[in-house]
Amino acid sequence: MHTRNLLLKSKHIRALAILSSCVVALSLISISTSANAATKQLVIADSEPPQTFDPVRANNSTVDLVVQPLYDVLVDFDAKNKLGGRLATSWKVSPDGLEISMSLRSGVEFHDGKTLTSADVKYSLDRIKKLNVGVAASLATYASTKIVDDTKLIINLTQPTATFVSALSRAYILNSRLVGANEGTDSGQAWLGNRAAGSGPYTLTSYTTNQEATFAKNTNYWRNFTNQADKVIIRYIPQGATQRDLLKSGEIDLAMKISTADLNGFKADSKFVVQDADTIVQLYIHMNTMKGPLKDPKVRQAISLAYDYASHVKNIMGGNGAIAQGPLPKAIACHVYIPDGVQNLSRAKTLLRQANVKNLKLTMIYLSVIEEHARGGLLLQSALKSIGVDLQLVTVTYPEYVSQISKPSTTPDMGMISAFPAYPDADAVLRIVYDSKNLSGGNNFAYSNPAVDTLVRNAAAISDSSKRCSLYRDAQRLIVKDYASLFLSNPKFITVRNTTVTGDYYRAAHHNTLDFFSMMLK
Amino acid sequence: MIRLAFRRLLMTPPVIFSIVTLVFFMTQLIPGDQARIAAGRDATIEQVEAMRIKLGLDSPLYIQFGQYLDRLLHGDLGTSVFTYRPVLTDLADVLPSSIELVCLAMIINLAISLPAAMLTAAYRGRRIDRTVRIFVLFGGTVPVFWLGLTLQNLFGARLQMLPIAGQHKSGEIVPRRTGATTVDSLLSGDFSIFLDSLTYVILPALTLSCAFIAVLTRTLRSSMIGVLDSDFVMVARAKGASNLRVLVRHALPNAAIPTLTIVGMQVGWMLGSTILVESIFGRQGIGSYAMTAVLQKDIFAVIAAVLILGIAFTLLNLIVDLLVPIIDPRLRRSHG
Repeated sequence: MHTRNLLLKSKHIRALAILSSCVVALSLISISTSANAATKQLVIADSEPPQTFDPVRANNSTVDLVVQPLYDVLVDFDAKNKLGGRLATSWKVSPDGLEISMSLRSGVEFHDGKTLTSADVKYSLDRIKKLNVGVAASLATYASTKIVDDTKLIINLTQPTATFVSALSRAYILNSRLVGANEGTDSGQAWLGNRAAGSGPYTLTSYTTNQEATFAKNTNYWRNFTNQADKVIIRYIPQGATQRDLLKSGEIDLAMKISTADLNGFKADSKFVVQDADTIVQLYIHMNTMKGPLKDPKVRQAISLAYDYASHVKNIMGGNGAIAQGPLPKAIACHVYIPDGVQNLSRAKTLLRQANVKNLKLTMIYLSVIEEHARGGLLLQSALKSIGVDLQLVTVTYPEYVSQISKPSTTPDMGMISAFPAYPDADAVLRIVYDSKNLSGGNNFAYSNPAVDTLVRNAAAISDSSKRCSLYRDAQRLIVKDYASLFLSNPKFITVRNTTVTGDYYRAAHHNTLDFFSMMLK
Repeated sequence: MIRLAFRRLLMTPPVIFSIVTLVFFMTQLIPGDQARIAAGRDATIEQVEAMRIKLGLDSPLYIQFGQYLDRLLHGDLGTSVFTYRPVLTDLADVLPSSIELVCLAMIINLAISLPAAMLTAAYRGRRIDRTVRIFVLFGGTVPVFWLGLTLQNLFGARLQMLPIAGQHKSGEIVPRRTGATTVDSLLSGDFSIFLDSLTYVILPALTLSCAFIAVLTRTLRSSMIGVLDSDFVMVARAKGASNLRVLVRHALPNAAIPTLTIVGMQVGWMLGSTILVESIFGRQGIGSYAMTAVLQKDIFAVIAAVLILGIAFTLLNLIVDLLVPIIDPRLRRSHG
């Protein structure tokens, strides 16, 4: 007690308290950050950094976003999903479908000033085949390239593939001399991990791992610039709330991940624009048609009728999307009209009674880390409860999801997953998701219908677009008739930007990315 | 002293070997197929199988482990199936940033905990003790995620005093030497970039330190109360020592010995706790790297990250073990 009284009188201790408070306060006082003061600089916030800058991995959108401005492709899709030439000025498929003759644009230069020729195209395609990863999945029938001259070449295929030219929209052309000189033992994968060797509209100035990538305008680019940014910076900000604050404070110009809850605030603010675009992405709940209670089509139909599709779009997506109509996203050619899913609980109960199913217990795996999936899972659980079905939701990571569905024996009753087609073609959805050949693959969820297999395989081999569409339409009708999946939604791609940025910069064929060349600054 | 250091150093390799073995086999339990992840989402079955052979995943697990140990002994931590780069290169990129964050967090931790503990010990049971306790416990119990976002919103978005996220101004080029932005800017002689980069690390460091401040303050307070009530402090006072002298020269060094052990462990814990902070503040670092590695079943990256953390933890404890006898002569004598 005596000690304490002595201490109470101490001025030194009070001084110490003040000093320590000052240390903390001083550490908080700082120079305020200023928004991008440099002229014609565009700062974008994305949520996930790229694994690599190697274009062979451009099947992943984080990689596709950063390689798009650095490289050119032979062909590409425009904002209306129309395929057109980029480096290729023309191409012709042989009658047997095994050869594609192509002419290249002349005078295109890589960032180091070397001219892009047929040899670079051959090198790039051969490298994809050799590495056999990433975009190689869409170009699996590539055999070889024959160089005719610097601007003419013939691509040989192992079998007729109607979608091959579309798939070339993710085959970025490398500077063969530059990469060849740095190949090492891994075909240049490590070297290209944080470097570029392309001819695209922007060059890579710097990359700080997981933090930001900086691009500068390629003044020698073969297309003319107008009001594009001189410098583009992508900052990797995982949290939507942080992106929101950065956008409001002026530190970034465009945010790619703003939560649905914050969108209305931005819509009401004249300093910002919420820009949306139709995508070719679709959210499904797949059902196990091979085993368990869902083997019965009546039970699958009952589950389909139990879901509240309208509520999903209105409440979960905040109206930023639409109910999916059938297995193929609406924005893809050859889509056949299937009416929107409508909840009908009494019909669902009747079907369960007819199927003689009681006390049904089901399990669904889903990626609850995604807000739409998490809330969609709960919505389904609640709907199924009202028809007497007990749904157990099991949270998994994507690798775990793929692992579980890789064998029919380990595939659970249901799984919620989105399809991200690499290009807007029916083949990229129907073959990958519903062809039984992919039963051990990453997308098919224990679905096998020989008639559907025949249709999608035949369609992939014919070049006549109307005949292809006819086959794809038949396949869609069969899948719908099988009640293989619940077709939940087609989300919109949403970005929030300040008013200095304009342009139609979204390409459905490169979902979750931005076309820098189409982004203008006022 | 030398014998103690030698004994401790001898214990380090078995500890590290145990960590490697444990983590290698534990990572096998992470669901997911490494070959499919490496091959890509839409890879065909043939492509996945080709990748499995290429990665050596078709061999029995004990052979894979043996091969991994062999590479490890040659300084090769493996290649990431996610970034396709050597794991060592990846870690060299991200680790300095985490160390920078942890260093500042520890400075804040000590700058707040030491005076707070002294004050609360001196004024125990009084209003100031209760007030500090409430603040400290609030900081210790509040979820890091919420605290980070709140600080960001308050100091970044509303008051605009500090940057919201990142490690330096957008587009600012800091020549890379160590990988820690503050150090690199100092080494490049640009003091304005140094000050700027320092502002970027304050909020993350403050967020990271909060939980640790609570532990350190409470531990040190308890130790100091014990010391302040001891006879030798009474003697010191009787000899006319001032209150500050009693606290700083007599109570603090005696109370600091158990606290030093906790500080040593806190540095290791902090390194392992950077995951959320780095994610919220958009910083690169070993935490976010390890999290991505676990989610992608990037086994070599997971093992390497855990290994680095394990080594850091072991070395820090070794340093503390060596420091304690230096501070406390009684222990020095007992260790010979």
